[in-house]
Amino acid sequence: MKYEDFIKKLENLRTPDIELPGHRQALKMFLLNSGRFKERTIMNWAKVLAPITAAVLLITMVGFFAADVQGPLYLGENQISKFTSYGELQEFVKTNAGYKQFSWGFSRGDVFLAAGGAENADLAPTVSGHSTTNIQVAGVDEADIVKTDGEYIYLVSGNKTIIVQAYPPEQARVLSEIELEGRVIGIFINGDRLVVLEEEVPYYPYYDLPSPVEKFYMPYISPKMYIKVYDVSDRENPQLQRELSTNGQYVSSRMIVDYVYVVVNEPVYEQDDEINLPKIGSGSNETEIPATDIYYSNVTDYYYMYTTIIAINTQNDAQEPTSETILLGASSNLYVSADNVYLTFPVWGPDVLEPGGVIRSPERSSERTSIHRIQIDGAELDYVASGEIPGMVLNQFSMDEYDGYFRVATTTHGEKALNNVYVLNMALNVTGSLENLAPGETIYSARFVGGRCYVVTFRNIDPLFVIDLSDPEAPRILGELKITGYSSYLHPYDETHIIGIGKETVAESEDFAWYQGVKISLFDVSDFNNPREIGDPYVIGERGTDSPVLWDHKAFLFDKSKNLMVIPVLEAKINATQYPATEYPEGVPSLAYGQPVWQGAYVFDISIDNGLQLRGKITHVENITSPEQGYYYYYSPFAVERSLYIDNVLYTISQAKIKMNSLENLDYINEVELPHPTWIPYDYPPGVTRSEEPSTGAEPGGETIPGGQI
Amino acid sequence: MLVFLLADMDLSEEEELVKRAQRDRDAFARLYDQYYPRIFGYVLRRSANLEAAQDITSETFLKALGKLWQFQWRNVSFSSWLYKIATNEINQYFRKAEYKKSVSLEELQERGFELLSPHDPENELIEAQEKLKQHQDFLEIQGKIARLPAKYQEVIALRFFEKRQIKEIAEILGKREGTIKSLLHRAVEKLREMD
Repeated sequence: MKYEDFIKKLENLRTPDIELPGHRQALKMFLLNSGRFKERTIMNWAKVLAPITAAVLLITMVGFFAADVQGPLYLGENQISKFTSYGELQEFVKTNAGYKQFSWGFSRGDVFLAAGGAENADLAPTVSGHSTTNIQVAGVDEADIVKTDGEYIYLVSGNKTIIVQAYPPEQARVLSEIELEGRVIGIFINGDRLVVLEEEVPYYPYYDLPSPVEKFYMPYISPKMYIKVYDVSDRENPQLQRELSTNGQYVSSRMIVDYVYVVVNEPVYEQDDEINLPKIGSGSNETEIPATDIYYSNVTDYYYMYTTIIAINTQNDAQEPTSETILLGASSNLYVSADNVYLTFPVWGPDVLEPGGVIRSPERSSERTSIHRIQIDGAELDYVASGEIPGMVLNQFSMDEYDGYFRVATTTHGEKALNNVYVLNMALNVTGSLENLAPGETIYSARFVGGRCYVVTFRNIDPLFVIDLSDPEAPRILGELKITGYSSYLHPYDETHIIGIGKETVAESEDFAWYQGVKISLFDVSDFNNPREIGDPYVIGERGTDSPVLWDHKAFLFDKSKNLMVIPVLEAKINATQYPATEYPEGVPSLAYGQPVWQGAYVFDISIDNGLQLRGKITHVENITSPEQGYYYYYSPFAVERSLYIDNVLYTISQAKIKMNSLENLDYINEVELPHPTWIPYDYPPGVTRSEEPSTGAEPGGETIPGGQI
Repeated sequence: MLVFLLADMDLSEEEELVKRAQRDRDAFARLYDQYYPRIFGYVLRRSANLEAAQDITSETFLKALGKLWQFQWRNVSFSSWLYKIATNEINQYFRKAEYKKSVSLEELQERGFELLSPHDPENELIEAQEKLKQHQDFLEIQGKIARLPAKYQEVIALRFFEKRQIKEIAEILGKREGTIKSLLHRAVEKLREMD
């Protein structure tokens, strides 16, 4: 055969494309259970695992039900009912729970609580002399790892809650520590009441993967969630006043006036022929929520979870907690307003298996989100409406309640991603929609401000859309701005200006761009039809630079009256010597990845007239010259996570310390060392060298990693 | 943050994912889902042996997980990096009389994981064997390729079965593009002589 023909033969050869789904699944479970993730992400893992285990238990016990292929999408109200008996609940779960392959990409089961019906938190003027957690809706506080009341700082460190005398800065010192068994998720401070949210995750025996053992059924052990209320009128001696507990995983929480609302998910599972029911413990009493108090909606899903909202009065220990439980499908998102909690549940993911275990292709998956509204008024909770819309909700900022309407931005993936904005009435019927925005792109951030919505979509360039929602029946695009990079957090500066924080990008092709440094832009939207960027964006560092603000809005500090904006940054720089001109005649390529060179808080002056001006930088990583210095910037206890101000003092907070600087000129004032676990630079196995394969390209040097730190 | 559900994630998203996968199970799981079929397919087309493909794929991902912290987004894409590990594993598998496995499928099963899966591994394997047997043309030429030195096997499989570009093959094998081209030429000539 001729050479060319032989090439053709090889090129056209039909090759086997065979899958072993069982092996794929078993290996995945094995890898994800390996000790690799154990120490640092034990909590996340349990969160992820819990629903799978439950789903699996249902499968093994209930059997295999073919997944119904859904009919066409429909919008509108779903029927809501309460079970009439335990037997009915049992029957419902058994007949409706089909097989669902748990979708990992989807497993961030965070429910986003967002408050609505209230004014946008960012536009509410600050009156106190100190900053508060950056929240979405005024009057609807969000739990965080750091809180201040203007005199004290309360902060979370692992399983500890630490109270620090913060003001005046010269007298700053640690006053007390509350140490708990479980991990502290977040705290609220309300006068002399400190609310600590704690999660205890069971230790699964297979974390350790001992030598092969007998076949066993994986028992389901629920994580446990505690809500602990302390009287801190004596900050040096906090007193536990009340303790509530519930099974399940913490989803999100809010505080409105005196009440803390906590949302918990608990998988529905069957053991010994019994379906579990949610329980709430108060003190030494444990109350099972009867099936007849549990709502369900007729939205079909493939396994079920109890979503329970608990309301606790932080000021009155005698008032019993109230709760509302709904039986819903898999993972969820959540938004809370001053008057309503909106639970949103993605109904489909592309990993859903067809009968027989075939993975459904994305084209065949019709992604929808079901929305459920629970009215809240103090201790009163009422499940009042539910509905459905196409697409997936990104996070709490994709949702908003305003003027009697719920607005939500979604992305529909599939062959070509599409973006949509829906306006729903309080019955959760869609009154207006704007669909098929920016085909091929996905929403990177959204923000609703009054009658308008700002949406950033991205594929290789960042369009910022300004959408008018003043007519709930006819949302329309007012204007659009195309710039490089993207914003993953949008923050209103005032009624007509928006701060965008994200990354700069260099477009490589039509559908691809390389991320570069962290980018901060100031947008002028006063002319809605022609949004524009004020001046040049401020770009920090090079490719590899990151900021927690990109995924956690609570890391953001902004005060318009003080012209102040502070964000924690991990700064990376590219080592140009690795890209010599001989090999890279066109210069350092866009894909070049930088090394961490600095971590700390970037402090900016921000104003419409002068844009962004760097006031200065504050780091907690000091006097470290060891070879592993770079790793101190990454996730070490010295990494600044939050900042706040009291009066004219800027406080930057890492796990290791609180540093105080003058807000005016950033002059050092004082610092307080915090109790924190000892830390070793990253987890290099002792004596491991980098010279092992894969070598070329993947890893430049062959240097020895500092060993023996484990 | 990782709630994007794209069939084929874009590279910028993947880059973020790789970074997070070093400490975040969800992110690693997504990468795994994305790459398992490609890597398994590659190993199967190199070995024409389903049991070997299972073992080598397992080993590849175990190594990848263990070395993820070494991976940096410089001159090589994550996909090439995985192919590189798989290639090394394949070579080791066939070089050594007894391939040292960290984990076998039996082991995975003994640890109870198969109870989590609706698939019966034995039936699955039997069915897959049947499917593989239907690819007679492939098996015939694969049998010949397998008699070539590893350096030729690699380039042929990556070029013609995995449809990788020369540039990518160079990345995966850590060689210059020119070298790959001449290796490929020689490999095809050798194979043609055997045909």
